[in-house]
Amino acid sequence: MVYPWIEQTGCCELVLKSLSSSVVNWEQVGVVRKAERPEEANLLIIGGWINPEQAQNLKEVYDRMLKEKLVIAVGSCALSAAAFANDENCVAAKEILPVHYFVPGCPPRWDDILKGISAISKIGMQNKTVRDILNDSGNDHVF
Amino acid sequence: MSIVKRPDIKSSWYVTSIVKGMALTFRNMIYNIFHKDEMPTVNYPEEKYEYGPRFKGSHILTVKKDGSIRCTACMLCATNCPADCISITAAEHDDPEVEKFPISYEIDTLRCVYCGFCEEACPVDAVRMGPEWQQPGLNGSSFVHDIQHLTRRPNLKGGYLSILDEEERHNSGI
Ligand code: SF4
Ligand code: SF4
Repeated sequence: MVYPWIEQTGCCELVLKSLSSSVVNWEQVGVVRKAERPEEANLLIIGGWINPEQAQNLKEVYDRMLKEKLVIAVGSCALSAAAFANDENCVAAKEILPVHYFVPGCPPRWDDILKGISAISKIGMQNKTVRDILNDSGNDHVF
Repeated sequence: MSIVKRPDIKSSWYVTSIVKGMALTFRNMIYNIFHKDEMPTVNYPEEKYEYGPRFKGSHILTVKKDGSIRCTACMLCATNCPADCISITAAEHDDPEVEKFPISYEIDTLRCVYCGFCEEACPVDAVRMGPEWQQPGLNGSSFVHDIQHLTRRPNLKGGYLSILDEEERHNSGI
């Protein structure tokens, strides 16, 4: 049971946007709904390139999320800055945040992102109801 | 003097639009119940989306008919790669006719952008983009693939044979 917050740029934006289209049924893998604010989210999906400004923004978003945080990095730029590795304007996600699941590809297909969501929601959220997650979160003002 | 007209009662009456919208929704719902095959939604873990057989995904190192690896460690692919993700170590071959061969050939899939430039650069058709997709994984699983994985991973069912042999290849001018 995850509430994803999606940070998207570049070409991966197109793939991540297609997740909420009618072709993909992502409720099937445990997504309740997209979080409307970072405070409601327990899953951060990072897709596309990250520049230093955005890295700062991502850290802020990460801090604002619920207590139990999971991170998926999508696409080569977010995984390792790929072709821009020698450029200081592109940083890899694993340098700024602890990443739990890597989805390689440029851009990856949506199947793999769903695979990632179902895989890591099994680690963190085992046998937990929505109520448990919210009780654990410590964010009283949420919901 | 400008006169602002109040919107008349017809345009502010929204029930017709709601009925119209709901009619469309219900029409589609009934249609989808009776035409399940035409529904675009893929229920992911049970159903898989089929990609074309010519899809270019994970790398394959082809082997010759005698089972040895086709790559000659010329480094053209590593030079052409925009992401610097191929690392090759060349070694001397026992056979005096063969100049060198790669003793290790590693592709870092976290860096690869699947552009296919390595495949285009290779003069001997040794590296190809296979039809299967790259594997996602948890943090800590191995994303750097070595020769063993690139030539003989289980999905390839025992080595990806390059169809042409040395002589056939020269004759056909590849
Ligand atoms: S597909 Fe492109 S990025 Fe990947 S190894 Fe080949 S040349 Fe490098
Ligand atoms: S795969 Fe092809 S281009 Fe790359 S080193 Fe081997 S022979 Fe050269």
